[in-house]
Amino acid sequence: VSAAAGVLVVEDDPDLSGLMNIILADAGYRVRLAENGAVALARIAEEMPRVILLDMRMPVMNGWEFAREFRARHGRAARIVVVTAAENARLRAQEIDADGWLEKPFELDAVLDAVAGQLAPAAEPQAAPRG
Amino acid sequence: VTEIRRFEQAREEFLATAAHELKTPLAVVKAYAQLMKRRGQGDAAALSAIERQADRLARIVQQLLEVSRFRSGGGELRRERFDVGEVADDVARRMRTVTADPVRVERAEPVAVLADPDRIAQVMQNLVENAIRFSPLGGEVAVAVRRRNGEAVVSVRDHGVGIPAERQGRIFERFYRAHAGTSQDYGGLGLGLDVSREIVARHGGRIWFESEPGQGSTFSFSLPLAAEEGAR
Repeated sequence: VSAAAGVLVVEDDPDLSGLMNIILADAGYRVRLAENGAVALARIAEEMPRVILLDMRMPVMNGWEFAREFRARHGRAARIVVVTAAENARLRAQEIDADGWLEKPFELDAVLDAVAGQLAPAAEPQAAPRG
Repeated sequence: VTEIRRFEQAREEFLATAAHELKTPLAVVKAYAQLMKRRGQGDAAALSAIERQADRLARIVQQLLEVSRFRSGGGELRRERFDVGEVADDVARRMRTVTADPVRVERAEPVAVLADPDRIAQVMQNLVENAIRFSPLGGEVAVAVRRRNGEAVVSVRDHGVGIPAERQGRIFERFYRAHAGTSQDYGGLGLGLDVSREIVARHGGRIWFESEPGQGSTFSFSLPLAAEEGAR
């Protein structure tokens, strides 16, 4: 169903976004990358993804600013999954009213589960299993 | 008050930055090791070792951050009502991914508490990690959750090396490592029990242990039970 769904990875560490690109593309998603929130907004203006994997601490425009701006412009047009090293990932997700969260470090399957979970019908906010 | 508030904000900012800066590289290392294994590139055992050690470092980072927060006055509890047994199941599931030792949960009825589930999970994880660390390979670790005398009690039991009698009085001291310098020094920072005691005390509970050198140890902690659901 979601084989060609678009996923936008917003992450400033190129090693990490490169890896996300590999595993999500391998799983059949159309992946685009953005190195900060401002670039992400530009990518979204070109095409709305189904799921946004969002790092929080980035230069130029961080995850909090991005989430606020995204909701203001596009409401809930895409699902946001927070990718965070925070001690409490769930709280971080609540802070920006995200649809899910993923804790660093993570299992590869947790990344795929987090995205697939958002694309499943009637997806509820949920966490991927911890690493 | 504003001075305190400013300090708190600076502390939280520091801790969040440190978590991000330390865990992001670990996430990259772990994920690429997994990717190589998945693609059949490289030596699977070596890649598994990389993964395990990255996880281990991530847990140490978490522990250090927790201690820093406590020591600088932070660490508010976010209390909610939950079943301690379910948290024990989660912790056991997580630990099974990093150890070959069987981790068993013994629980019957739900045991509801009004506590911070993430912190309580952390205490259980600290105790289970210790139990694994000081157990022979494959030694069983049991986590029992029950009600006793109007309290919730969680006990983590191992059949490991036990704690030398003359060192038992000091094990809750920060930085104290009961097995330091012995043939059973299996590492660790000496922070887990200190943090655990602090967390449990903040919840109004107690932590204690029984240990028989050569036979094993049982670490337990108690928490006040939540009021009955219907009584609220």
